[in-house]
This record gives sequence, C-alpha cells and structure tokens, in this order.
Amino acid sequence: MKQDEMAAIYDKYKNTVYRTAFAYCRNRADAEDIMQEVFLRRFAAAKTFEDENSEKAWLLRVTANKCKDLFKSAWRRYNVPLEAAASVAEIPQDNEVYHAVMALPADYRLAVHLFYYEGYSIAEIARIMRKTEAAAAAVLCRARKRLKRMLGEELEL
Amino acid sequence: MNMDDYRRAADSMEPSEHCRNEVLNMKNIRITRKKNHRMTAVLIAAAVMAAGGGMLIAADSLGTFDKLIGVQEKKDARGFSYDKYDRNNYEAIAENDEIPEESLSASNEKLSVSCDSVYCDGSSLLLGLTGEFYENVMKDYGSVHFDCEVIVNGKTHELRGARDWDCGFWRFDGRLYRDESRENGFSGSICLGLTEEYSITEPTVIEVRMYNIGDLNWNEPRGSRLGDDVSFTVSVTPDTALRRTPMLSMEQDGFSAKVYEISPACIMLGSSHPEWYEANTETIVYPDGTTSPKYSIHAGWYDENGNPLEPLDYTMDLDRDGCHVCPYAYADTSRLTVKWVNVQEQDENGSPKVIYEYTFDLTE
Repeated sequence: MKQDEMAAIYDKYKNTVYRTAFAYCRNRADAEDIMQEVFLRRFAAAKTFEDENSEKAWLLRVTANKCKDLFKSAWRRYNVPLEAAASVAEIPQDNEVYHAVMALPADYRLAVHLFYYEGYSIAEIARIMRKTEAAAAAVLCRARKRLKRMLGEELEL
Repeated sequence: MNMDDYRRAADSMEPSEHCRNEVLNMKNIRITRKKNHRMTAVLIAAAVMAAGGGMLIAADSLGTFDKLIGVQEKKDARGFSYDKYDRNNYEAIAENDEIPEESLSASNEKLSVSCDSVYCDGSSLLLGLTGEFYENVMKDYGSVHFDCEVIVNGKTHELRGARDWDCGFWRFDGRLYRDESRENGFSGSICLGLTEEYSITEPTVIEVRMYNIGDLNWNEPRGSRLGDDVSFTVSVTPDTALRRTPMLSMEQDGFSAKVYEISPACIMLGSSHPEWYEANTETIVYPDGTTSPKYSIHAGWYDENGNPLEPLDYTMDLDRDGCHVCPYAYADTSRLTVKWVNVQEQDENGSPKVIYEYTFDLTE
C-alpha cells in the first residue's frame, strides 16, 4: 500500500479508532498503542472493502479485539492491579456523564461508546464485540441501569 | 443531563500527533499487546522503504499468524501452491493469538525453530512457528512439511496416527512456509484439535517433537530429510471464552443438522441424511443401458453471503449423535445455511439440485 493511501486511511479513522480504544482502556498510552497496532494491521492486511461502513466496522472489530488482548495479557494480569489501573485513568474533562461511563466495566464502556457515540445498532455492536445480539443487548441494558443508578433519574438515555 | 455530554467529551479526544508519524513511517512503533510478564522491553518495529514510493510493513512487527494470512493463494517459484489445502482462517486466529509466557527454541544441523505465537481456546491449539534454514532449501519451494508428535497433559498425539475420537484429537497438521521477507526464513503452524477428554482448561506445558522434516511439498515425492528431530516445549494458557458452543440444532423431514462450536479456529458442524435416502435403492437407467443411483446426497454449509465454508480437514470422518461432523474454517457470519443437494440431479443452472435447506440464525 502506498504511503498516501495509508495516510488517507489513518486521517479518516484515527479518531474513531482512538476514541473507541480509549473508551475501553481509559488511558492515553494504551489507547495510542492499540490504535497504532490496529493501523499496522490494516495496512498489512491490504484488504479491500465494499464500502466505508465495512472498513470502519472491521477497524472497530480489530480495535475491540486488541483491547481485550491487552487486558487479558499475562503481563497486565500480573503487573497492573485493578486499583492501579483505575488510578491511571486519564479522564479528560470534568463531565459527570463521561466519568460515570468511564466507571463502568470495560465491556459496558465499549458497548455504550459504540451505541451512543458511534451510533451502531445492537446487531452491529454484537458483530464488533463478537457477541450474540442477545448478549450485546444485555450488556447495554445493564450499562444503562448502572448509569441510572450512578447519575439518578435525571439522566436521559 | 444526557449522553450528549459523553459525546462532547469524546469529541475532544484525539491521538497525539506523533502517532501519525509513527504509524505512517512505521518507525519506533511500540508493540505492547502481546507483552508477557517476563518481557518488559518494548518491541521496536522497523520499516523498509520499497522502491517506487511504496512501503512494506516490517515483517518483524507482525505476529507469526499475521504472516500466514493469505498463504493459501501463494505460489512458489515453480508455480506450485504453497499449500492450498491449508484452510485455516489465519486472520481470525491472528486476532486472538498470544505470545507464550515461556517457549524454548530448538535446532538441528539444518534449521532452528521456535514457537512464538499460540492460539488456544481449549479445544483447538495452534502453535505459530518461526525459524531459519541454514541452507537455502526454500529458494524454489514454498512449503516444507513434517511429521510431528505433541504431548498434551501426558497424552501423545501423533500427526500420522489414526484420526478418530478415541485418539484424543480430531485434526492435526503441520507445515512451514517460506517467509518472503527473510532469506531462508520460514513461518509455520502446527494445528491440533482436541476432543473433550483432552481439552486444555488450565495453563499447560506442551512438548513438541518435529521429525521427518523435509517433505518439501505435498505435490513432490519425499526429498532428503532436513536434519534430525527437533524438540521444544511451550507453555500454553487457554482462553476458553474464544469458543462458543451454541448447540443449535434442527430436524425436519428426516434431515438434521447441528452447530456444535464456533471459534476463530473452526466452526464445528454436523449433518445427517434422512432414513429414506439411506435405504433408497432406486436407479437411473441411461439410454446406453448404464445405470447409476437416483440419489447421491451431500450436505454443504454456507455463510450469510452464500459463500461455501471451507472444510478444514477432508480426511476427517467423525460421527457424533448420528451426525456426520466436520470442522470448517472460521467465517465471520451471523447466519449459517446448510443445503442438501442431490448431485445426480441438476437445477436449471446445471448445479446439483438442492433438495432441502435450513438457515441457523447465530444472533439469537
């Protein structure tokens, strides 16, 4: 793949991939590492896609997998206790809703991000997260309930 | 208070500018995904500028299974396929592999080899191999095959052993492919499908012995062997969450089918024919007086786009619950359709006539 093609792909999807990775990792360093790996994989795969939606969905599926890989790696399991992981979270703004979303479990955060930010349907989220539709719907439902519990009924979902 | 607050916060986040340079120049890319607890150093990938302004991805920055993506389509210098029978979906496997926490490399007088990627969902075990020949044996050849023995939980599985449930595995193959980015270098895989009894549920040390290395290509007569046996061990931590067992089944008009298992390594599917077919003795008599059976029914599986699923192992013949069971390469699909065709009869397009079909919705 030529460099200008790679640059075009990167510029088009960098924020999408980075923000999704951040939603899962909650820190800039990991999100940037994952983003780099996703694009490395994209350029190496030299795939052709039917349309932009397919390409974006593929990138997000790889992003979700890379995020899960990072968190299940032995290195992280052995070296980053939960408390420490929470303490390195880099939440960028003083924003109650954002803080509440970031306090959810990782799978919940990812589902919320894909649904409310990327605008994906349950079926599409299921494919990206490699879950059944029922499982994806259940994750989103539980995430909403937790957000309501944290932020009260004034939260509009 | 609503989710727009979340959207506004997310909108404000962008990756650092240096990431763009690193990704596009492929320099100093930090690969952290597959770190293990002993590996604290950051892996640095290098970039190779290709002539004509293009860019090649540095091979060292890719995992072993990444390098095997598309190997089925590659041809060697003589026009032979590297291995068109390798049906593994290496793309799906590469997304879920791990660097083993402990792996020892090994060598003989002709080659060195190490296992640096592992995929294990408990039922399927794929070992990603890399190494180098000391002579230029892969100049003309795309692949080298070998016999192999793998010891898992005290059970020895042999590549050339019988293939049935009693032996503890349903699939076993191994090969080394020429690594185009390195002279004399190779990447490869050993694939093992384990039965329930021998499935890997806990971190386990696997012993591997490769022997008869040098069966250069399935299309070729056996050549001289490439040195003595090579043995190594690798520790494997299974991720059983990679494997779904939906156990979807249908039975209608005597046709039955089951979806046993879905993982990045394989989709395990089973089907059986109606009893009337098994007992049918009807024949077709052709004008020249020759005859053939009226029915010859075969079942095939298709993804949501109508593409046929690729069987992983043509030699496998398993029966489970009265079904003929076969592993297929992973396909990213939300539906699976099974079609029974009678190959003795054609439809209007000249294709074998479909006599029954059923679609499983995997999202339910």
